[in-house]
Amino acid sequence: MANIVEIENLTKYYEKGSVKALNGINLTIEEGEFVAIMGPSGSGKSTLLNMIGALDRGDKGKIIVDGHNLLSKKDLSTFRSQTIGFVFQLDNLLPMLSSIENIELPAYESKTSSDEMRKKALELLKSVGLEDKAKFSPVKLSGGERQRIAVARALINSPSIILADEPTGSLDSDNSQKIIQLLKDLHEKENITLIIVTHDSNVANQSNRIINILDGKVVNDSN
Amino acid sequence: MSFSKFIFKSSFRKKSATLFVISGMTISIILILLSGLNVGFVREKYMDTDFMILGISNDNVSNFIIMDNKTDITLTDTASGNGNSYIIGKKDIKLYVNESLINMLKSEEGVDGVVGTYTTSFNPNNNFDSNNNNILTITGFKSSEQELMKINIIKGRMFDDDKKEIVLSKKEMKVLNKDVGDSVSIANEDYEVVGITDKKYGESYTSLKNVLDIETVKQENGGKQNNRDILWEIHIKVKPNYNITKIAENIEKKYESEEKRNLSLHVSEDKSTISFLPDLTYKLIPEFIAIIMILIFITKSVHDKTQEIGLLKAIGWKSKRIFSMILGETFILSICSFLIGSITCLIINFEIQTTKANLNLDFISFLQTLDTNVFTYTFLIVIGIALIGGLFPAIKASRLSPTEALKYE
Repeated sequence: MANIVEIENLTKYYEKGSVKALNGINLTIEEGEFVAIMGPSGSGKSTLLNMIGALDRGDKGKIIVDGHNLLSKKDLSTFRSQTIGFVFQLDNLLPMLSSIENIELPAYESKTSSDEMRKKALELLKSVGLEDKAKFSPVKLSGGERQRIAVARALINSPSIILADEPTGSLDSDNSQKIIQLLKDLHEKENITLIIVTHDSNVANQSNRIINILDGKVVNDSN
Repeated sequence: MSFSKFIFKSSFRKKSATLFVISGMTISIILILLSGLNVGFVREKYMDTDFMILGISNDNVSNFIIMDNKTDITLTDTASGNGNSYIIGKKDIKLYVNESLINMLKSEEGVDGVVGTYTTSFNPNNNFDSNNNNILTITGFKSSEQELMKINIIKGRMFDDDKKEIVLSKKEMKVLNKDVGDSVSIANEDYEVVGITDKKYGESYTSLKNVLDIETVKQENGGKQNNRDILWEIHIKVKPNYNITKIAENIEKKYESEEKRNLSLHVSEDKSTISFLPDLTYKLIPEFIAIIMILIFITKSVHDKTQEIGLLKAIGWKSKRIFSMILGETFILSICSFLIGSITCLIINFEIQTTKANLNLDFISFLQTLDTNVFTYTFLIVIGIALIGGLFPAIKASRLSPTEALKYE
């Protein structure tokens, strides 16, 4: 399998260089892998995920994701829209929109018509088991349901990679397992590369590979 | 869902926050509309300064009326001058002016148009009851000079010369309980009311509120004034790019020597220069306050969306789309505020004007007559300010990285 993520000596500073969040990370991830990134708070795992998803830029090194060199690329919005699907710890759904409208949000940049957008959003809603909640406002859904909507939103543009930052962090164990199972099913059916940042070893153990980060460095890789 | 529908929904995303912004903007809009957006005042008075008036009295005319501060030049008896004019030149002169001066002034270099007026007072129907001791002041001039005299007819038309026709102000029409088509009796003659005048929005100039053709006014006044050829005022329009003060001074020198009399000049252009800034500042204080309020409310509204902007950036929205969303939302909020503000303002204004007319509360002069221009100007200013107010925080938020914006609270 080809590498979908290639990282060489990636360094990221914060606070004008006084804090080194990533300290020369070297890492490759193959297409279709399910990777869990673990580490204590402040170890740099979320920063690494944000670098892969082009939510933030590294200061030094090299990071190539799905063929895009992210340190030299000027416009990262198209990359984020077409290549990456994000699932955040908090669902970050917009309360004034219905469930289905939240799922459609990333598709505004994909040049699809409103009808196509709606059709695909309905399919995704069905795939996460919430087809009967299409018109519901997020505030009327449970935490688990909201996170399932967030997963569906991440999939609307058929991304190559799903990045999930503590997707079960605010859920109980039952709902956590449902979300992880949903992500695993999508990963297996669609062969999507899945990278999850988690504290939870139960979640991490369901992945194919666990990468441990400490002080901005990879200290252990189960690969 | 279409993008425009998304913008509409997004505008009302948080009821309490939206209500807060709309309320704040509505109050600002009411402030602008009620206190008077003096765009008219600026345009009429200070941008159109190629208009001047000469007024000369003779010994027999004691109640000489000096035109208000819209005058560019007033040549007059300084003893009868009032505080509205800025006086340069000599003092204590008694002069008269006859109609032949009009033709002489027309040939002066830089003079574009000249019109003479004659003002007198009547007691119409012997029952006119205003605050003016039952006196109706009427100014006469040739109807063809309507544009030069800046008569603002809001209903009907200008009178025809040599016909028994009159144009009265809105206020006098109300006092006399007349409308266009009715007749009014002045000095035992019936005149048909053919038009209604009103001051333009923001304009303080009301001297020519009741107008009639000049010959009629002179005839009606002939018994009182023996000098039938005298004029009370001569209004002069100066050609573009000519210096009004210089022309006034030239006229002063020339006619002092020709008439062998001293003249004094009232030059509004000079007055404008002296009082423009404080006058403008005073008039525009409510607008400044309202504009600052609009900026604060819109800026806060956009600032509160920083986290949402972060999410939209994280899911791949381009800055251009985010700007469109913010500007669209700002536009919608402005329209809502404008509609609510306008309706509220119309109700308040109606109540105040009714009370003012009933109780003669003329001191509420800062309340201006609302017309379509006022609403148009207010609308354009509110939209413009709101869009500017929305743009800066949007630029700031779009420059944040999505991770920073997402953490924002």
